[in-house]
Amino acid sequence: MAGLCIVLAIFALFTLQNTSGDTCIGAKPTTEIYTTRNILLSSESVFIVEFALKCDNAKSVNLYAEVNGKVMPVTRSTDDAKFQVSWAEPHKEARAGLYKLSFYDDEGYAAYRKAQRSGTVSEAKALFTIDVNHPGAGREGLYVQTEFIAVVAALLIWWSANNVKSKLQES
Amino acid sequence: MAKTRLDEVTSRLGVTTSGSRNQSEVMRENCASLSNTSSLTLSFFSSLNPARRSQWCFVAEMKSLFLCVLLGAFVSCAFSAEGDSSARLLISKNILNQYVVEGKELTVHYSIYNVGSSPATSVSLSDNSFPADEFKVLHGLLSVKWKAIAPGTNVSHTIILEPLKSGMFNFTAAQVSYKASEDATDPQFALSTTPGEGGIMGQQEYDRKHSPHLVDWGLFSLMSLPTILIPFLVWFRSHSKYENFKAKRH
Repeated sequence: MAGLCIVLAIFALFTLQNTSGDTCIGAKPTTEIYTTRNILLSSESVFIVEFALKCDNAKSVNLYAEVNGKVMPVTRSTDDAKFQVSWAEPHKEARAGLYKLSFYDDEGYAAYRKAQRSGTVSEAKALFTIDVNHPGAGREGLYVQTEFIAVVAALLIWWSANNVKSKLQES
Repeated sequence: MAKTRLDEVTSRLGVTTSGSRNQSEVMRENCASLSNTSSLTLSFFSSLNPARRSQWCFVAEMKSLFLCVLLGAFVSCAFSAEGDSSARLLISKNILNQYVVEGKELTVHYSIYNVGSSPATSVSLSDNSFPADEFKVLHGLLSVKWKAIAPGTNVSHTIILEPLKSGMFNFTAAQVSYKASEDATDPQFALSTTPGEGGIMGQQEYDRKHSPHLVDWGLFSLMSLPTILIPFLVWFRSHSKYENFKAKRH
């Protein structure tokens, strides 16, 4: 009986170690961020966050990213070297400013879902976070076309000259 | 609703695939018999993803082919499903640009939707349709994988490329492989929709249309300056003389 207990204890220890091996302790991401700037080159605002993850222990970890309450699975490169999170939103909905991405592993994601169900999302602890600064998408360069400026300037000159001329003719 | 429509399309066609045949061959065959069902699929596609219709200018005659290939991709996905408890992935590949310009960013967006009833596992997407001498990858990964895609959910992936040459380019499909069920041993292969053939605008042409032309306007105003300034000075001189004359008389 005692032997069985010891075996069970050892088994439990192993499974515990296994589960802790799946998480990433001391996660250090090195990121590369892209967001859409020019609306002519994309009909939607696109956010791309690429990162490589350095963990103190685990080799392979399955991640979920959360931004503004939306959760998506993190994409991995085929050679496991890099991760990528990307999403697209219509230009009007993609406000300029800081976006905070929270990353969860399998366990953390389960905890997040649990917290979401009970309405206490802020209590779920993220593995690490990445801040994305989106300056907003717009037209490149001037807000009005230079043709418009040229026409306005020409009209102004003509108008002032015409004004002077009509004054001369009156007197 | 979407699923039953897809089933309808599949059953109406009654085409079967054999493993040895090339997938594109199968799709081309499908296209021939599909002209009457294409409207159905179009409505299906738009109900799936209404916002993603890129404003991409196609060559007119390529449009019908595009529809066929799009449908073929869906149908080939549907064929791969055996039984009820399996995953079915629909993959769309879109170019989000209004203008595709040489040397400027090209945004390619993939979205994968699982219409099946079980999660698709070991999903990998790779796109070999961008030759290295014509496109440079600026951001994002060309071949990626997901551990699982749950039924009824979608995942998306975006990459930013830079076209190195101008001219026509045929944007073809990306390949996806996945396991349709937990105990499946062989991976299932699928193709994405194809954005079709599109023109890549040259850098000069784009600048002619969209750059502010500051130098050109500067030169123009310099050249037109004498014709305005000389008459103005003539008038201004006589005007100030006349004003002086009036002041003296008073």
